[in-house]
Amino acid sequence: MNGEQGNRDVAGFAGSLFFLCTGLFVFFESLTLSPLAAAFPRTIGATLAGLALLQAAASLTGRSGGTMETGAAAGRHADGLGRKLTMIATMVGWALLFPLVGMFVTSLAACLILMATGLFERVSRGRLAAYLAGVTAMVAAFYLLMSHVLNIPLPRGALF
Amino acid sequence: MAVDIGFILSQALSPFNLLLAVAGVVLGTVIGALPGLSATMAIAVLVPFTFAMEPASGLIMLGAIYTGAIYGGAYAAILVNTPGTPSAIATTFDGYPMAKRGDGDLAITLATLASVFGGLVGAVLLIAFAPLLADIALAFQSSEYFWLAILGLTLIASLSSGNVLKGLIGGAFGLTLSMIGVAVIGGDLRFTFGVPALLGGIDIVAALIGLYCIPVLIDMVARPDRHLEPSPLQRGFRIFEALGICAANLFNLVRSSLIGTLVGILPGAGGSIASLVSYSEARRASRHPERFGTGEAGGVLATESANNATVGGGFIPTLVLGIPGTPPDAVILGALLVQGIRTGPELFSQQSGIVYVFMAGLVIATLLMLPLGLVIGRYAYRFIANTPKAMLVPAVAFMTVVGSFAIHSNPHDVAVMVAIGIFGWLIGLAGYGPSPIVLGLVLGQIAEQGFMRAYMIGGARGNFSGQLLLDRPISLGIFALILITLCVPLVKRLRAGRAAAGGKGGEARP
Repeated sequence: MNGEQGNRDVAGFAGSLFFLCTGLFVFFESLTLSPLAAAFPRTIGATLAGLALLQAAASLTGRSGGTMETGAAAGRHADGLGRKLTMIATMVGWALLFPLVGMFVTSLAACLILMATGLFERVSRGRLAAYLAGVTAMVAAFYLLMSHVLNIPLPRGALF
Repeated sequence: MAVDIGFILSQALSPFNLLLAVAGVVLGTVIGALPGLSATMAIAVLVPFTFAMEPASGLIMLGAIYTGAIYGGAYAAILVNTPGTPSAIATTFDGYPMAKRGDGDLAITLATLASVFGGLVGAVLLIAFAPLLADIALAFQSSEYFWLAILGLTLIASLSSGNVLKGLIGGAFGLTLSMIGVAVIGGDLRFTFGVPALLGGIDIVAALIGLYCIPVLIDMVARPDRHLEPSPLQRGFRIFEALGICAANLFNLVRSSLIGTLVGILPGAGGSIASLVSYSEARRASRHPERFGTGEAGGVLATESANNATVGGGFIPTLVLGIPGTPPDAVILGALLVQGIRTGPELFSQQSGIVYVFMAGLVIATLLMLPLGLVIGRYAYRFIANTPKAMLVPAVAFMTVVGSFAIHSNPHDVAVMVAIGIFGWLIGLAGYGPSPIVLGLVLGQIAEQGFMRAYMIGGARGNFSGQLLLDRPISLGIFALILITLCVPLVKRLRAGRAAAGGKGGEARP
């Protein structure tokens, strides 16, 4: 999915198009702002669009390279798509629901789903129970640390 | 100026103050290692407790927390590929590959030694030359800050080896993200799309957590292999091996610590630029620059010595000029004022006793980082390497959510963190790394303020470009560095291309 087809960097080209559109949007949106608020966005928007255009050309002519960073994002894209989507859906649901449902309940539910997502082989009942207890204890401990020690007002929502 | 060293040491080394320093370093290290929990938060939470203490004791504890938190950022960078603080961004470049191949224990020990070395250099320069070095902060004006921010972005772009252009695009996009909300100058609402949550802009820490943690989490659940390779042998702290590497990199350590101190002096620039400049210099000067980014020890030494040197450097404008260099400096400045200490040029003559006790406390806290950091680091590495993914994934995910919520106790920060994280993962597929975007976001306000002030001053003079570029030698110097940073990879690429073409041509000849 890296988009390298022959010498062309298709994914890089798609990314460049996104940044090109963003740069153009920022540039034209700045025309509606006051002169002082517009000067910097106009400059950066034009720069972003210009750089993205160059990158798009480089991607199409096969002169695009990768990045040095060896983090998670680069490469290895095809593996575990279902798990990846589960992770994304869980994080999105967690972020949207915790103010409504409550931090503790949402976090516990999300962590249990993520725990199941992180299991790659069958585990014994004892080990599974240990994992469940571990996740519950972790959520409870961090909840108490945040709410009682650091005095961060965690949302209690409809449940807890 | 007579300073009673005996009195200062007796104050700083009292059992109670030592205990506070130990507690501060441990607390700071643990908090700094947790994404989202920053040094600023730790200091801000504990400041009220220090009001009941003697001024020196309270300040020693705050300094120890700050030092520990900057160091603690390296743990998450090395073990989870997530910089605990922006100043640890460059530590991920080589620290995480080292941990991935089973050298996490060595990387932690190197980070500890480098942090202690850098912290000591920064603290010693603070003690010896604070008033003199404060002049450097005053020498920098608006246009220099703009160019400094651009230098930071071009440096990180040039570090994205193989594709400077993608790095520059990422940096420009980060600057764009920094413009969301109320304009720094002008006060207009920009790019909020009518969403009230975006009025305050995008929080840097939430973006940092999202851009680094979410792709790591997505990658973690995709594959059954271990997150980190555990050390194949029981090799202890690997302290002698690390000391040998430090000895071989002594010049790198000294240079990076000096860069860290000098950049730390500049308010707002701080550890992120310092560690990137040091990393870039270390790579440029290395005999094997191609190893950087693949787990090169010199990279970890450069970034960690530089970012801890910024602690001492950052206190120079804070104490001498009353201008806090970083948010933690601002909180400590507030604590100083509450304790009745007036910062400014007279501080070192009128209240030298307490200031030098504070500085001595900083040195002691830095030294304490060595044993405490080695012990904490060893167990942290073992713990992360041996924790099954079924436990590690929910733990990291929970910390990202709670950490980003804790910044302002605002659910919108969590939504922003998740959205930016997913975006970061998607653009990662297209070969765009997170570091330029984060740095653009970090430096956006500095860049815009510098740019706009120069724009207004230049406009008033009817000479914008002259004001921005040509009026001042420091601006010209930084601009020249930017050009060099951008051109060197290009020239190298051209030469390599020519050499390859020459080789092929040679082969083709009969």
